[in-house]
Amino acid sequence: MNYVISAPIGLSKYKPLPHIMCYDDFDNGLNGWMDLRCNLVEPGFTPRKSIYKQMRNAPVCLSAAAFGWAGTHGSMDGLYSLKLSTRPVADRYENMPAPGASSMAIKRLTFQHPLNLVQYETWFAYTVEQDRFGHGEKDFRAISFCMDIQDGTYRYVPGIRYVNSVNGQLTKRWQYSHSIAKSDEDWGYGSKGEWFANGIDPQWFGRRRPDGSTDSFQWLGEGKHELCYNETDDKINWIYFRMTFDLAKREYVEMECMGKVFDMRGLKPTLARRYSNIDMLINPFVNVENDTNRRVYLYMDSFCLSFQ
Amino acid sequence: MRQFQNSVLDYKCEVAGEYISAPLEAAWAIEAMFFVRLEDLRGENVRFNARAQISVNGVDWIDEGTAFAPISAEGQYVIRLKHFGGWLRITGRLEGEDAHAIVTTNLVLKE
Repeated sequence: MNYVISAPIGLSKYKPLPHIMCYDDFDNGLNGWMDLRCNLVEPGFTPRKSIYKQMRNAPVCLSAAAFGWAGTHGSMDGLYSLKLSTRPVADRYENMPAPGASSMAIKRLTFQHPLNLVQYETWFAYTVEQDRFGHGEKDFRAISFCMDIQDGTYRYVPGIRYVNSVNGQLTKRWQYSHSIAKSDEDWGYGSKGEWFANGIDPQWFGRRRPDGSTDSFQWLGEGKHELCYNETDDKINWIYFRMTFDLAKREYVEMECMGKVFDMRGLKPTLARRYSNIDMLINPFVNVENDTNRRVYLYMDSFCLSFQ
Repeated sequence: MRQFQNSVLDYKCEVAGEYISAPLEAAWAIEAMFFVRLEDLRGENVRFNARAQISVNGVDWIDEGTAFAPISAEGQYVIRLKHFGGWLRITGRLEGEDAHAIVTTNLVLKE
């Protein structure tokens, strides 16, 4: 069959692989992105007991990016973006994230055989709630762009984390998801008899240290990479992000953000045991963390997931 | 088709005294409903008073004018809003001696 696909103009700001699975422009709604909630598998629709409390994660929304002094920002080529917001609570970097100190949005998909490469792309912006005078950049801790994947043999979570601030110190370095924890128990802050597995949910688990290093994400590249964060907290600038991953070799290929490209061949996420019922799962997600008792916001103008 | 969003602002949140829900941006919506579910209500002369608030910036809040009738029993309750601008939340207080409740709040938005 001969056919012609007319691509939306917004897609031209991406560099997708040949098979585009999703192009989500949040001017058209949530596109399947939603809050990550606990599995409510205990009586009374309650979660399993766990050392990490994700029940307090704040909800995501469609945002016009409106600020008190600047007015409405809108999105890159429209009005609405997907917004993640923390609650105004935080703990020190080396401690487990406080309940509500992160927010996560996820889209739930499956993929098809045979596939080699998958690529995660987004245009994003970030800032803090403009609830006080001054420049709030140091109150914004981190952003993680990840994919939760199970390929029939293993479950693994390739991901890239931008560590912006560590206990108020601007760090501005990239990390990639790869666990150096020694066991599931070690992964979960020493908690015994829990449900989690080493390498899964790196946005919360894996011990963290005051120098910004963690058991869950390892440093990528040398030195700082300063992203565009404007002079006041009510001005946001849209930034391009791309992560390419080799599904056949279960290794990273490349990461790109704001003009910088990292060759990641040879680097791998941590392979965890296969979970029942979720073969062929691929869930792109994004997670944001604050560094102090303040709401921080992450905006995604749009998102593209493509395969080769 | 119309846009629709059901957001869980707080899930099974322990409340004793003041309650302020998570805020949400809702500029795209024409109508909004706040659903509040109260569970495990304990204490003497317990009464939950809550009202809707609006904001121009998500930081400073003023009463919208719509409020729940005083709640003194477990169950689910709702208020309806129109013409609310960009930001929404509810705030309130659980009154009574040794008052305690578990509160779940949904904000349901429609174009």
